[in-house]
Amino acid sequence: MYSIELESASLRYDEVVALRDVTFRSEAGKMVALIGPNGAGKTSILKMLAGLVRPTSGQVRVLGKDPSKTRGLVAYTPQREEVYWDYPLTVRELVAMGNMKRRGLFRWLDSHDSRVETALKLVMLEDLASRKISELSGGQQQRAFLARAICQGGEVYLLDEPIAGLDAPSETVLLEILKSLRDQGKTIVMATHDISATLEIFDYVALIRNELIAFGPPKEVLTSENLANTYGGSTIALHLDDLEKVAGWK
Amino acid sequence: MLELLAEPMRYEFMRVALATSITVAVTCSILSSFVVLRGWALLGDAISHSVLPGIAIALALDIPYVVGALIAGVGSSALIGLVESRARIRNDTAIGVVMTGAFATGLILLSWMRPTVDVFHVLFGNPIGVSLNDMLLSAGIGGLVVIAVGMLLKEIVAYTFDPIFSKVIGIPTTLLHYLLMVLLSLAIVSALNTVGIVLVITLLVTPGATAQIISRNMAQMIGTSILVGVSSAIIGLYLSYYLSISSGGAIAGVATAIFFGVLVIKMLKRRLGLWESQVGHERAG
Repeated sequence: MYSIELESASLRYDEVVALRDVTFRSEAGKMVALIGPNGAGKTSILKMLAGLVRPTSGQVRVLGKDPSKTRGLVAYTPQREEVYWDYPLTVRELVAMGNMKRRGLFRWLDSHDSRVETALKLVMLEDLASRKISELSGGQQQRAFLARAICQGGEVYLLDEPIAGLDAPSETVLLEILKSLRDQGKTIVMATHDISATLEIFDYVALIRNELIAFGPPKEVLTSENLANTYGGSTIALHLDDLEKVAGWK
Repeated sequence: MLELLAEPMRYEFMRVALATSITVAVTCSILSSFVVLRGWALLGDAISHSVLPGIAIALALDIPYVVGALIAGVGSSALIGLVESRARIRNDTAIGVVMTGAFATGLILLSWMRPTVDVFHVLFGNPIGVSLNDMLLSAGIGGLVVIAVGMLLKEIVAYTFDPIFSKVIGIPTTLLHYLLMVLLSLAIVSALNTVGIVLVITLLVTPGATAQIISRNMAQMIGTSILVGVSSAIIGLYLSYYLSISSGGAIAGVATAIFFGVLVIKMLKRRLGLWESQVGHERAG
């Protein structure tokens, strides 16, 4: 059984076609990178997998089911700018949100809870658990988001641009955590701009520009021709430079 | 001093006015925290202005004005969402169009029907004219808001912090959104008599904004917000009694003054802290 599947999935918002006829699938225990320029439809794919939007045509299945029936099994982490970080929450309270559905009504978030503490430890934020979330660095905020997803205990992790704007050490830490989740059999689907980060770590890359340009293992997919089709000719030189530098590849 | 505090309380209308103003302040201040954190200040303003045609129509049809105000308040928030998505314009633009349109409709209806209610009082409040029934209504609405927010606090916090995440984990976010719109509209209705629909936004924004400056967590924020709201109501009402000034204006004015007072203290403390740490550094060096 595939853990995520898109079958000729298309998505239109009024007259705008966000995605056209996208087909790819991945088994469980894999890391999938969605790569493409802004507005290419990366977030739309994540939202379809999360069951937030329905494909206008075609099929999307997660863990063999319709995405609307996978509540609790799918963890979704929006882009960091989507939330108001000045919200008066501590790191522990933010992470505990992942556990909300397991706890009943009438119970406030901030009671010590082994799931929350485990998740905090996994992302190495246990020392900052009582900090206000506004006092965290970008990388720490992203790790707090990830801890919330871990606390939720899903099988599929959908992450929108988690490494955007992070410095290199923070990026490495985050990707290491994602690798360990994959090794536990979780499926990671991550939207990113960063091609170099995906080369050595990810099992699959989906190149997207409102349609699927290519899908497969990074070294097969990240060809100059595919990248030119994804990003357009002018920016391609820079990306290829990156690739050679980082991977010593090509 | 005690004399000064006790003197107005000799009159029943002042006791009713004070009780009602405090109740309304608690109701609005609780919601204020979420209005501020979710960025709904302008939306709250729009709902409060949209309540006017609801009241006018209710008066014309001879149904309780609460019902008309509630339908108009919730209806306007739904209309704003609809305009925003259908016309593909920005949220604040949609709010501007709906808010002024609804307010104009209300003014036209009221001027045409020439009802017995004083439009000036609806707009700017008149706590001294609050009836016992109005007081009970405010108390009922306040109780409802306290119970609803108390029961759903976790869900409301999650939704106002991260709506997308909340939807994915299975919180009925649309339902929750409209529940909050209903509570906001009710709070506005309860504030009609005390501060009026133009100034109610002060009670829905300023206590929460003041609390956010100094709070570290949600419990602190809601508590501080209530404290600011209630203090404003009490001080404002006394000021209006002794200075013979508009009560709605005085309550809103005190809330604003508290906000700037807290902000200035916070800024001074930061300056002082910075100065102290500099001195510390020099000493250490």
